[in-house]
Amino acid sequence: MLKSSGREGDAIVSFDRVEKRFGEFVAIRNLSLDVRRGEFLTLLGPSGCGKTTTLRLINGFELPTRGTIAIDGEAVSDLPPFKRCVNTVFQSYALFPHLTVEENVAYGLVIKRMPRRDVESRVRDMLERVRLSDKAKSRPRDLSGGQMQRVALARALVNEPAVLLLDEPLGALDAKLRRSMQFELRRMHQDLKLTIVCVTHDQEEALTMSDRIAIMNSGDLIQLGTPREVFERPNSRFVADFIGGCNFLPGSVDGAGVVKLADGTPVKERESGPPRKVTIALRPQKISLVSPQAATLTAVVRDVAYLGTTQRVALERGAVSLHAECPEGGAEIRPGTLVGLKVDPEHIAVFEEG
Amino acid sequence: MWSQIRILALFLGPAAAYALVFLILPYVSVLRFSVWSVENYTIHQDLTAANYWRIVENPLYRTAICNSLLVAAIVTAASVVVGYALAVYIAFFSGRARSTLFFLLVIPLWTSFLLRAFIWRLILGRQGILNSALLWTGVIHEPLDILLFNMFSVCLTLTYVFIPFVALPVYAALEKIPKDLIEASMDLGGSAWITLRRVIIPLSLPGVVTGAIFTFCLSFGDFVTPTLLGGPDVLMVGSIIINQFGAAFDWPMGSALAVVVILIVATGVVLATQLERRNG
Repeated sequence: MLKSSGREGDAIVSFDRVEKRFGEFVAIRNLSLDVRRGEFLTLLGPSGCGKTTTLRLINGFELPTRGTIAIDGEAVSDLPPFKRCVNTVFQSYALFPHLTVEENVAYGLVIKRMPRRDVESRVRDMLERVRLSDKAKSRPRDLSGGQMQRVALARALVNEPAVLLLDEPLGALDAKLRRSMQFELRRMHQDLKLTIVCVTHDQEEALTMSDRIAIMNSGDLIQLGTPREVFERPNSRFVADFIGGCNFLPGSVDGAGVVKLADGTPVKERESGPPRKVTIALRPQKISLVSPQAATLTAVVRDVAYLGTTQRVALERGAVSLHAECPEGGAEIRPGTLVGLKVDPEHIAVFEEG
Repeated sequence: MWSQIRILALFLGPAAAYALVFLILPYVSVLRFSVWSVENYTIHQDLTAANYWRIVENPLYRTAICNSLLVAAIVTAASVVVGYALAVYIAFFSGRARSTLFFLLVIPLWTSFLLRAFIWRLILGRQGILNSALLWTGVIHEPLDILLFNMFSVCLTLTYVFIPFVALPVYAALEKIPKDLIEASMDLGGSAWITLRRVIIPLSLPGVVTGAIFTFCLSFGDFVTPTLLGGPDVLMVGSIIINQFGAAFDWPMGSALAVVVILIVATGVVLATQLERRNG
C-alpha cells in the first residue's frame, strides 16, 4: 500500500456513473463524484440515502452494478477489499477481541510481513499519536468507547492508506467526547495530509470537519460543496432543510420577478420570468425579531424555548407556523404578542418546487 | 424466613435429588466396588487394591487402554478436521442452502447410534457398497477384507458418528463471530485464508474444544463400535468393562477399570479447558 504519489487536489477516488442495485432496490443511482487528494469529504444524508453503500463501494465490500470506480488512477471494480490501499474505521470499531491493542494496531503490518522491528516502532509511534501508549497491552474489552475508537483509528492509519474511510465514527460517543474527537480528526487530517471520506447523518459533524460535503438522498447526490456553500446556498429544499433547518413558506413569483408570500406580502426581488408558484425558505437563525411597526412581515409569538445562549421562538402567521432562533437577552419576548420579522433578502432562498 | 427456605428447597430439591441419585451415588458405588474382590462368584467386601494392581501388571489391560487412547485420539483429530471444515462451509459458503444443510447435519443425531454404527458393516463388508463399486470399476478383482473388522473400520465409523458433535458447537461459535471482524481483517489486507487463520479459528476455538471433548470422552469408552466392527484385534477398554459386568462376573474389576477410564477422560477434559483458558 504505497502512499499515493499524485499532486494535491487531483482526484484520488473517482466514481463514474455508478449504479448499485440490491435486487430490485436501487441504492445508488448514477453517481459521478471525485474525491480530491488530501481533502476531508463527508457523505451526509438521512438513513437509507446510500452514503454507507458509497463508502463500501470505495473499500470494496460492495461492487458496482454499473459504472466504474477508480482509486489513484486505477480501475478497482473487481479488486477485493484486501488488495485495495484503502482502510476503514468501522462504526462498531471491529477491534479483534482476542488480540491486545498493540496486536490490533499491528495487524495490517504483520500481514504485509513487515520486519518485526519496523512493525514495533510504527505501532509505538501511532499509539503515541492517539495517546494510548499506556494501553498497549490491554484488551479491547478493557477500553472505553473513546479509547476503542482511537485504537480503530490507529489500526487503520498505521497502514498509510491512500484513502481513510470513516463510517459514522462518532455516533457511539457522548456529546462532549464527540466534539473533542471532531477537532482531533480534523487535526489529524491536517497533520498527516490524508484523504478522508467520512459518512455521517449528523450535519454539525459534517460542517465542523469537512472540506467538502456531499449531500445524498435516496441514492442521488443532491449537492456537493464546501460547508459554507451548502449552508448558505442550498440548491434545493431538501438540502436547506437537512442542513441547519429551515422555515418553508408557500409563495409565488410574478412576471416582474417579485417574490411574494401566499398572502401577497413581497419579500424579495429576482430577475423576471414566468409567474409561478415557489417555496420560500427562511433560516431560523437569520430572522430578527423587531417591533411590528418596523417590518413588513409580522407574526404572533406562540411559544419561547430557552436554549442557553439562544432562544427558539415559535411563531404563527395565520395558518403558517415558523420558528426563529434569536440570541438570548434583550427585550423579553412574550407568547401572544405580535412581532415584526426582519430578514435580509440575501438570506431568503427561493426554490422552484411549488 | 422458613417459607423462603421451603421455596428454595422446592426448587432445588428435585435437582439435588437428581444429582445425588444419578451422579454422586453411582460414582461412589463404582469406587466402592473397585476396592472389593470376587471369589467363586461372590463379592467380598474387604478392601483391597488388587484390581488396580492387576490393571497395571496385566498387559491385556494396558493394550486395551492404549487401543482406546489411540482410537479416541485418531477419531478426535479426524472429526475436528472434517467437522470444522464442514461448519465453516455451512456458515460462510453455503448461501441459500444453509438451513437445509444445517438440518441435514442434525438429522443423523436423531437416529439410533447403533444403527449408524451398524450401517458401516454393510458399507465396508465383502458384499458392501464400497467393495462392489471397486469391483465394478475394475480397481480390484477380489473383495477387500481389510476394510472391516479392524482399527480402520472402528475409527472410520466413530469419526462419521462424531463429526456432527464437532460441527455443531463449531457452527454455533462461528455464528457468534461478528461479521464486521471478518470485514475488518479483509480491510486491513487479510485474504480469506489469513482471515481464517488469524481471526476465525482463534475465535471459534471454544467450539472446537467443546466438540473435541465430547468426541474424545465418548469414543474412548465406546464398546458398541469395536464389538460390531472391531473384530478380534481391536480390544478396547469399554468392551472389557462390559464383559466384567456380564459373563466374566467380576464387578470389582469392571469398576476398577471404569475408575481408570474416568480418570483418563477427566484428565483430558482438564487439559483441554486449561489450554482454552490460556489462549484467552
